[in-house]
Amino acid sequence: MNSNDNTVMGALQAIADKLGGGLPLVPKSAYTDPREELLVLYSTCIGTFNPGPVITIRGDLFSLDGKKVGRWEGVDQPAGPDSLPAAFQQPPQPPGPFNTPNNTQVPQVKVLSWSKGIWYFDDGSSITALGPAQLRAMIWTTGNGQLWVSGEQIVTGGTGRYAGVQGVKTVSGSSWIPPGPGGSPPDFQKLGDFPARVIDVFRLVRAENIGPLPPLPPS
Amino acid sequence: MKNPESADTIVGLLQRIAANIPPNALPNLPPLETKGLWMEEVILVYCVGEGTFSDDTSEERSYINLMMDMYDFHGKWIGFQQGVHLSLTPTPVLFRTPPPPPPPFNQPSLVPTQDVLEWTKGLWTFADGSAVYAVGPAQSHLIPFKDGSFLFMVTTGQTLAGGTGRYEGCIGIKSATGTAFVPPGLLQSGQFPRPGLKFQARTIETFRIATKQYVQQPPTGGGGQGSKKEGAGGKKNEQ
Repeated sequence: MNSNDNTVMGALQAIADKLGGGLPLVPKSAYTDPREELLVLYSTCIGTFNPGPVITIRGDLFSLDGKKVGRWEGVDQPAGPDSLPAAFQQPPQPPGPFNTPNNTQVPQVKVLSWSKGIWYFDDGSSITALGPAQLRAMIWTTGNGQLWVSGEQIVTGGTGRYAGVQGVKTVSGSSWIPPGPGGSPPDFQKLGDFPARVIDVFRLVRAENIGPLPPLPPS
Repeated sequence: MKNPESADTIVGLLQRIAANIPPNALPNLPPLETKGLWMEEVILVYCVGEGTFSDDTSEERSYINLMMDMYDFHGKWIGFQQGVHLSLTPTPVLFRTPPPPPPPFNQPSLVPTQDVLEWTKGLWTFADGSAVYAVGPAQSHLIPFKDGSFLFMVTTGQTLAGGTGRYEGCIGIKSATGTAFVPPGLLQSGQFPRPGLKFQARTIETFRIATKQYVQQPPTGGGGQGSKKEGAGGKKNEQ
């Protein structure tokens, strides 16, 4: 359909394009190769603080246009008893330079938690992934507590259209906790459910595009 | 017969409507449903730019610098990033996929851990001059295509570590996943990675930010999530 044609449909197409209906959900410029599959999904979730503490989370998955595409569930295990206290502290600002790979330092920050998850799609396919997840916590001026999870995961496999898939993904999770009684600080270790929002970004290559491992030069 | 583009035809009216829809009529990307509390700022961007391996790159250790332009999901330029990735992962290990994590996923259960061999730092500068710093662990992966080329992938989960301008005193997280194309023959001949090699890279990055005015106790800087001051592969900072 040519949005410049002089028909009702053409004019409606022009309106749809202006409103975003003609745009791809993930910009084409974000792709490196046509054999790469990019998924940017968000989810409305319920998390649970379990004894340990261990966080479990489950939610419905949506594409960026709000269409439900599946659901997911996962587990986040803090790396140690000092992980939650450390989440309240800001890492030091990293030293420069940032514009060269030479003569520069990259801080080797500690991993604060470990995560695993499974993402189920509505056609019956699924993807599993695991990896480190950084925690960050703070208190808003409203008295609400905030806990963020920033995960970087390796895709370990899948089923259905994702059988034999390889790739990487990220997790950007946000949850909030009500103030304590009488305006006291929120209890970040209180067992029970809490609401959460998550953005997952997958970069995938399906099995049909994956070739054999190459013979590598001797190291 | 009337001119179809005339304003007093249905087509003409629709075309006038289309022409007068402002750019900000585009949907929010990411959708507002991705936010937690209303004060939280969620930014979803993609970046396109150049990566460069360090002059001392070997199969056991490399630094990669990224210099990239940053766009929102409608394609509008909103700033740039400068970052560095340190990898101590030997190249052959990049092909490995870890075993699937054991179920169950809906109740407390074993979460596998692993050695962390990669880290990132970066500076993201927005169009108004405000900027955020972030640091975090990373992982890389190499996937062979059937034609002998490869897709080099990096994923990182980061914590914000300071800011300037409207982000001075901010708190939050960010994450990024990026890829680069490795042409056929380059890796097989030992030329990927190699010192000074340049390549095109593309990333998608997600920021979740609390700006200072909404934070009960803004960070005072320093301390916090512990890190080694000098990486095993770290070099003296000459700046």
